[in-house]
Amino acid sequence: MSLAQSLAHSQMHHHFHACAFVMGPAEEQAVIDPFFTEGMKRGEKAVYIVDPAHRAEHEARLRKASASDELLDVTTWNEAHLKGGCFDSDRMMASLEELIREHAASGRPPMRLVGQMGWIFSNPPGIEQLVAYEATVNEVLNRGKTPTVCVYDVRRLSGSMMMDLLRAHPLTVMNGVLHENPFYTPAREMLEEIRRRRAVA
Amino acid sequence: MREAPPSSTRLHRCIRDLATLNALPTMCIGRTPEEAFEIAIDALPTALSCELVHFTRRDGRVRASLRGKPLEGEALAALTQALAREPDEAGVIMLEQPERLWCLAVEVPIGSARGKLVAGKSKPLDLELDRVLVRSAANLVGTTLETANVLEAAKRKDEFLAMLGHELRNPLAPILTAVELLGGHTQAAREREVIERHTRHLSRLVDDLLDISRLERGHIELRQESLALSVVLERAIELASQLIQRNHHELVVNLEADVVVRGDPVRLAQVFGNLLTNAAKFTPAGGRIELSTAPGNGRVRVLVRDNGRGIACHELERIFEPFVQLYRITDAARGGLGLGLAIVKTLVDRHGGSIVAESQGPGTGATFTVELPIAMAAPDAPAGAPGVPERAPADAREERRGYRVLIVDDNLDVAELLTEALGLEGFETAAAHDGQSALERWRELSPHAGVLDVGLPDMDGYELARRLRAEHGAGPTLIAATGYGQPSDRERAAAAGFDCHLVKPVSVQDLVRALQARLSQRNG
Repeated sequence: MSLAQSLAHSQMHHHFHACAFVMGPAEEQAVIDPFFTEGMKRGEKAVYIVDPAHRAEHEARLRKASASDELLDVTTWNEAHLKGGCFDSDRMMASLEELIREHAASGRPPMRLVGQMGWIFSNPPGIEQLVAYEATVNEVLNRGKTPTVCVYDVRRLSGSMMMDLLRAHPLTVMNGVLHENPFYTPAREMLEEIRRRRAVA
Repeated sequence: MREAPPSSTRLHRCIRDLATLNALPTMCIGRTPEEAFEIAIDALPTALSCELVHFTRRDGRVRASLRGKPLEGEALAALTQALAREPDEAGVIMLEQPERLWCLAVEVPIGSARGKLVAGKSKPLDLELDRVLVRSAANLVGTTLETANVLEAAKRKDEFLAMLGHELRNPLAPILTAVELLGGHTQAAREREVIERHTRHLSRLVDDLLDISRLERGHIELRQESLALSVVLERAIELASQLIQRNHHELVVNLEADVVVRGDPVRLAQVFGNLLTNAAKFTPAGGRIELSTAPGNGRVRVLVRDNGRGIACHELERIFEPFVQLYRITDAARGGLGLGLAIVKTLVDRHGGSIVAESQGPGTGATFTVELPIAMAAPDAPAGAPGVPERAPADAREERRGYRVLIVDDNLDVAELLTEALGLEGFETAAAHDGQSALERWRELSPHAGVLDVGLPDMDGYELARRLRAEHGAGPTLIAATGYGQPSDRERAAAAGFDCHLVKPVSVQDLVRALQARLSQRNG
């Protein structure tokens, strides 16, 4: 099942949060562009959080599929996950909630959100909060019915990181196909395990 | 308190789930066997809520770390004891309780090298179970590496097929143009007809190859229009009509009340055209083919039924797989690559529908049933192609006199043949073979129109179009000729300043139609 057909139309047990594992930018575009394009054709806003080094090219490419400037917002991870120079789970969650709330208040069709997660490899301050954040953000996204995809490049992940991310996301995109994630672990269990791990370490 | 220890059942479930997702093998594509080994065993403890200990042993002394911190005290002593009879100098260990260890070790093949996976248990409850556990984990690592190799090979195959399709398409374009040119200038009408028929068949095979490759890689974008199903089916019948007529089949069409479906008009016509063509291929001359529709419960079923060769029960399961052919067709101009039904299924899936094949067995005919959602909307107006008034050829040629067209293509055969073909249609033509010489020729000739290949050696066609627009303004007509026909390709061409976008192989007729449309607009 393609990402656009299923995630955006909430055909996966009403989950809205997927992690997409890709091998490089070409595969990311093949997965993400149709997801955004389909949404924009329906008048749904596309919000893309990207690597600052490639913001202009992503915007130029997707702008062609956008009927109006208002439908596309390409921003960078420096203005989102790493605002203020570090990753702060609470701050990110609050700004995400505000974004979703403001969009809902505008009365426009739902929004689609995609975040490139390449920033995690620079090991910024606060990175240890990532898995807990990914686990708890599901509730915010489900409440706001906002289809959201976190994009990870598998070429740079370790096996344990991959497993943690799989457990934090209810849906996953592997080789371009959307799956219900058999490893998904509800936030409360996931947070408990993270706490135990910290105790061992 | 820690979670329950990993049981054999949990491990097996974990392995099954990882296999379903192909998660670890995907990560291991392009890695060395040693890197893949690290990835696979690094993933296991996280998946099973265990811990991972890395150790080295030199001169009998074991050093070990857990989560980056050295292992000490009882845990280290237990590990040292457990490893006493093991010959390896380094490895990893999977354990539940760092303070109490009991270990089993198995060797894991990693390509030509060998790695080692050691599982730790808190107490030796069940030796056999532990062996199963450890061997299962080892299997996961081995399977991961094997699957990674298969995935990598499949990826290379897909890329090769896509490249092959494009490479095969390039020489087809000049052949088709040459055949069209031969039309009025040869005595050998039969030979010309044979060349044309086989070239068109070859074009269809190449198109199938490109389609399946793009569909599998998710590179086909579908339009979403509200369509009258009857119009789609009419177009499908047109696509298959030549073969149906040649085989003297009886085509019975029974459309119940017309309905509207959402989708891509060209691709949906391709779906039903392929099914009708398939029926015609596998039904003996004089046989019967039925096309019928049955709306109900928000969906419409379209049935294509024939009384032809039929399908054996065990073949029904794999009939929609790519490259599967149930019967060899000896007639070279009708045979295929076994891709038609695979393309049909993928396209139907992409339209939110389903397809089922049924047959009572060989000799009993077959029925293909496509089910699509009915749209709650009126059909969109058909996309308006630029109207080209039908004109007498002599009048048209007269009108084209003095209308200059520059053909830009690095394939000399294509450029020369198109130049000649358009010349015969009354246009004044010239050719250039790269971007720089095209810019120079344009300054020299001030053509009214340019037909630009997108893949030029020194600058691509988009860049050339941008420079021509910058230098000569919006006046001239620019036509892109590319091997890519997706909506995004058309948008890219429009953004670069092209007026029109034609997909290779470009027929002379299509080109003349496009040029004539612009010429007619100009002349009011």
